[in-house]
Amino acid sequence: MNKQGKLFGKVHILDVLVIIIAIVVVIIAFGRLSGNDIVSFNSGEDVRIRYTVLTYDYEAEYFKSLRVGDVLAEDKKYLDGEIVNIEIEDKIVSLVDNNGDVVTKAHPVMKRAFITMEATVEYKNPIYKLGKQELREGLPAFVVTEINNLSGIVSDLQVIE
Amino acid sequence: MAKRKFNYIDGIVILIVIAIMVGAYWFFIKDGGEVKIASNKVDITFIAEADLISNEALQQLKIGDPLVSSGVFQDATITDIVIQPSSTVEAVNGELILLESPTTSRILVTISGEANKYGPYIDLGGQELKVGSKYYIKTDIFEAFGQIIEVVNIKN
Repeated sequence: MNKQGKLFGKVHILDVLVIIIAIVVVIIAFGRLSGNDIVSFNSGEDVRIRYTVLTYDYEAEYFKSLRVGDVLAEDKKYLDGEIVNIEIEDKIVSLVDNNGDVVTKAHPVMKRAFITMEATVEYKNPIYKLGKQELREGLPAFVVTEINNLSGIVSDLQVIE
Repeated sequence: MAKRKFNYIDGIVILIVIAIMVGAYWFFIKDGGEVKIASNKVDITFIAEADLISNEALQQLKIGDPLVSSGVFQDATITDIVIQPSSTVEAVNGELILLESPTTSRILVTISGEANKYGPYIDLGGQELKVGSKYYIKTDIFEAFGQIIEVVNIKN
């Protein structure tokens, strides 16, 4: 490279860099748009999982719009997943009454639900991801469908395929 | 006229433009092979709740009131209002009971209107309509912050 920044006295080093960037961008764009992994970014593999979210406490009305078969969604797109089971149970609370006794009973209003879903997620070692949402037992998660957006904790996660 | 040379700055600008176009196409159109932006209007009926509303403020809320958002009336109206006392749970003589507040209320407001639907995303006046989502119940003289508790009906 000479003092003007030219390689072999002919090609400028910045031109070379620009050409390299252009080639990389074109290859990446072609690869992503055609679905071929010309350039791999360790995009992970698709795996089918079954996972359950134990919702936080909600009044019973909140669960009326949930249906088995509801397709999972995120923002303005549907995801490859659906609700396969819903179990609603009472929230159990313990309070001390006016006599000093501990009362452990079902809350008169609040419920919680175990919502089980099956979905195809991306497994990029060591993370399972559904859309933008990372899934791991114990992690907070949203159950989002066309008309639901309930939150809870992942209580179970199994790879089924 | 002097011949204008193509320099690397031009190249970088062209690359940025191409990258933005590819990114926009990828974001809006190509995502798992699905076209995800396709808006249409839907008729929707849903119930929103708000708690701890002072009893005086409730006088301002009426069936038939049109909703307001972004400074304009929306194509949606209040079709039903259920008022319940705000409550807390207490243990009394071995039982759990609801203690009702004499001064504040929980309101369940049924709203019917026309919303925009983009795939699974339903929007009314800039507010997403999903059970569990935060929601402002807002008319020209009343506003309460709550949540959507039920989507009763959607019709395309």
